Amino acid sequence: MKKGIIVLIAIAGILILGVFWGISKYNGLVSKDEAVNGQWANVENQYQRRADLIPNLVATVKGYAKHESETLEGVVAARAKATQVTVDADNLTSEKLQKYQAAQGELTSALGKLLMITENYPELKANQNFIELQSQLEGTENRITTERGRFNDLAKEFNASIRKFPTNIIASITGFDKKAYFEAEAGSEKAPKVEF
Amino acid sequence: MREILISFLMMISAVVYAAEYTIENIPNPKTTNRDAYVSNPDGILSAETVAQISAELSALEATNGSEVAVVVVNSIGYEEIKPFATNLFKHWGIGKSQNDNGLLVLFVLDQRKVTFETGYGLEGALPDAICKRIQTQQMIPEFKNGNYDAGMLAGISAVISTVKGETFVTTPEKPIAWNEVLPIAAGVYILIILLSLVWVGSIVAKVRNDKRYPHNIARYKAIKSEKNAVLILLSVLIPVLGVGSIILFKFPFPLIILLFPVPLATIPANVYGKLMMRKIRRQPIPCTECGSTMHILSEKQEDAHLKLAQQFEEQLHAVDYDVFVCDSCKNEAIFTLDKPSAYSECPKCGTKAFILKDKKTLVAPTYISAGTERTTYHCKFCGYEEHHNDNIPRLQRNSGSFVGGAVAGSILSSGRGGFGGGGGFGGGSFGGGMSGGGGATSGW
Repeated sequence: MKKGIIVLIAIAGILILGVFWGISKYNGLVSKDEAVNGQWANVENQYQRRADLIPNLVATVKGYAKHESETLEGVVAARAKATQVTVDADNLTSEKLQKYQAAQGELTSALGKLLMITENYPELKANQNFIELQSQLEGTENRITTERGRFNDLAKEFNASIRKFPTNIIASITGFDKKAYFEAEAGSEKAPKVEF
Repeated sequence: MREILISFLMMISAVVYAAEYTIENIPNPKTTNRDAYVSNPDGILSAETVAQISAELSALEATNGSEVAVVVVNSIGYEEIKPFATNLFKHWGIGKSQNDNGLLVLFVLDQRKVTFETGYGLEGALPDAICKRIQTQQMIPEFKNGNYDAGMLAGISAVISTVKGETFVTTPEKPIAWNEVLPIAAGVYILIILLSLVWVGSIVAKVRNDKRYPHNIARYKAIKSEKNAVLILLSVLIPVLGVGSIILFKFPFPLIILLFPVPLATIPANVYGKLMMRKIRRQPIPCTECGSTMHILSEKQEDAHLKLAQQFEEQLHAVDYDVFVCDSCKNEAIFTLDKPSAYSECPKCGTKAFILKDKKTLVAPTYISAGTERTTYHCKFCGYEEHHNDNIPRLQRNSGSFVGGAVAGSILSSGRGGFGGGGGFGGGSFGGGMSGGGGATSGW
């Protein structure tokens, strides 16, 4: 056996090990990618859950607050708009995510207005159905916050791993893209102004 | 003076009262006692209530594995109660990790609020509306009157009666990412195959051209012993290193299965080595008489050149003879390869066909006297027999195994006794469940 052959086999061995290392890293990235996609599905589920609560809520409020049709219509319109904007998990660009967030944000503020006017209707506030709907809505908002936070954590982890050396080589060969995050809601970076 | 004292006492009480808890420093009931479910560091609930709630929740966990944690504190500072509950839930991991069947009941006195945080697995049994209903109907009316014990007891029993009927299926966990591990393992196996082939190949190359070996059989033996040494080294050393690194780097223990196929990866090298050994043993050699080449004879042809005793030895697979005949001068050379076998050389005819035939006890040993045993060896070729009479040692009272048994017994019993064990002392933890912000909050 000549030295040259031994060297060749050694090089082949290193190459083979490198290929298998690459496959292993690639599979790891796929798992992380799937985790982000799965978490995105959780986020969408919770927004959907909120959208599903709204018709019931609107109907209940309508029974007590007939004169607030403008606010009620605002909520219905915002819901219709928000359910139209969907983002595919495989295509999570920051542009699309921002659009999605803006649509859901409009619905959030429309709902906020609706809940504000219900303060003027004591009978509505005492209605057991309304209390429970409100608590469901509250729980859903909490869930949205939680799932969004977890989505951001997973997306950050994924983004870090596709940028770290040497995994970034595998990521760029196989075409993994950065995932977008949820930004803080517009306006929430400013402290609220308190006036007396 | 008196005013100063009073104000000083008030300050102390204010400091004690204002003890604010964070997620890290709220005492986890599980760390002190695995049967505790209630964290009541400020003593807002009475000891009897705490004991009763813990007993009821322990019974609930025994029915379907649901874990309910009750936290009753004076203050969490200016933290919002709901996110605090979500984070505390995650920090403690309430509920079984596979089912996420946990519930956190958080009571904060200075905010006058109680919140339920439901694990993902309990959101079906305890939807937010039901949580809210339990709070507004069972708990808040009592809390308004300062009856924290009564409110908490009523709320917890309402929760238990709702959750009791649920069943949770547990499936074994799969913690190892095999899709990542297997490609690496496959790469390592291929590397071992290549390495062992290269190594055996270099041994063959070295021995084949080495003039220091007097004949083919010597080369055959040299390759065989070196090849076996290398392959045993690889198939023992690599698993040993593997086990070492599993222990050292705390890899998941099931990875140990990946080490079992390692010896199989040396099979190609072994097969290659054996083929080369056979080839080298049969390769033509120069004739010592005329300088021409000698070729090996086949098993059938060679019998004509062998003595009867040698043929017999080959039949017994005790010795292998290789007969080489010169092409031109008909000079012949016979090489001998001793095979590992039960036969030894007969002292009379010298044939390797001498073997143990019989072992007979002539006088059985007793506790008082030694016995005698007769062993008979016999040569299968010439029929010669040899007898040996050997002493059998006197029987011993079985003190050795008695001591052994006593030692084993004491090890076993020490394993069973003592602290640790399965007793109820010592801490535990919740099962590692997750929640997603579900539940409801009520104030009073």
